Amino acid sequence: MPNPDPHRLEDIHRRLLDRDPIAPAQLAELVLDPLTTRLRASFPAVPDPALIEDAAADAVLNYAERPEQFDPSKRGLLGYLQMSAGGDLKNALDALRRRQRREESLDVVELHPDRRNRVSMASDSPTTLEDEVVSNLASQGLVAQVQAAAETPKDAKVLQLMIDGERRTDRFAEALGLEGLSPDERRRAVKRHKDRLKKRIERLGLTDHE
Amino acid sequence: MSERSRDLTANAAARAAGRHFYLASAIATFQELRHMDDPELARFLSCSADMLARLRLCRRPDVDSPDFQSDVRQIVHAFAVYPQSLLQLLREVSSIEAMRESQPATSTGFLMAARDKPRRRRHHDEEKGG
Repeated sequence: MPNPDPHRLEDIHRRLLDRDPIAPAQLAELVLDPLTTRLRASFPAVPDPALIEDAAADAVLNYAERPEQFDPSKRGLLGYLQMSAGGDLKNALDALRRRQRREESLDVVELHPDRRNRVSMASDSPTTLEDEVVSNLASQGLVAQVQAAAETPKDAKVLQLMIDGERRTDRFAEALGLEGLSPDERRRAVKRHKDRLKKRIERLGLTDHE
Repeated sequence: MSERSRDLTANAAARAAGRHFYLASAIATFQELRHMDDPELARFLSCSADMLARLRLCRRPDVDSPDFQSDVRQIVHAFAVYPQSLLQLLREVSSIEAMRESQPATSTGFLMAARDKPRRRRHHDEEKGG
């Protein structure tokens, strides 16, 4: 999308100052597309295109409401809108990162590949923080306490596999006697069983170690 | 207008609904009061559904301003909407907002009563008739 004609933008700016009721709609039509294109180029790592579209829309709406804040002698209108939207976008991204960090500190998260490798070499599903904690228990002399979470011999086998850092669904399915199930059913049943055991470990207060 | 531009304009129009400056805010209130969706609104204003997004991005004419008639005329001329409908929309919403401001504690009740009015009247007429 080519940049809009500067004369048209000047005309719209003048009409916005004159409170022309049509000017905001014409401005939006003229600049939203090129502004969004510029923002996408400046922020290629933005995960959600809607963030860019919202920032562009807000910059245009803000300017149309208060056109006197734009000084044409300093920069072009599109540059001004890009700067304004860019500021909002950075704030939105910061807020998003803060929220993600908060969620990561509360929830089970995937580990970075290097940490995952440290936990287990035999993995067929994402390694979680809880898994790592369970795995690390082995080196903290807490195995016996964790094993206390086992209510059945099958639980004990599964816990031992978790402590050993085992990641392969088939090994857990074998320990639970689930070989007859389809791969999908097996995966779901193993996950259910492991989740239940992790909850039990949490209740024993053994997952605070980091 | 390309499809991408149309989508971007529609997104901006949706965001403008929360800003009193824009016609979008009056349209949103009117649609809420009348339980009117976009196709119904487009029929009411006699314009295409596509045109609604651009209409929403216009500055909202102020009913108390001396420029009100001229602002409405400009919008009508630019978007070929039905003038009486636009005037009705703006005046109706303005009245409702004025009443909301004067009765903040009971605005919800008032709006519910305003919405129920035609139905109650119909019901009353039915009772009278039968």
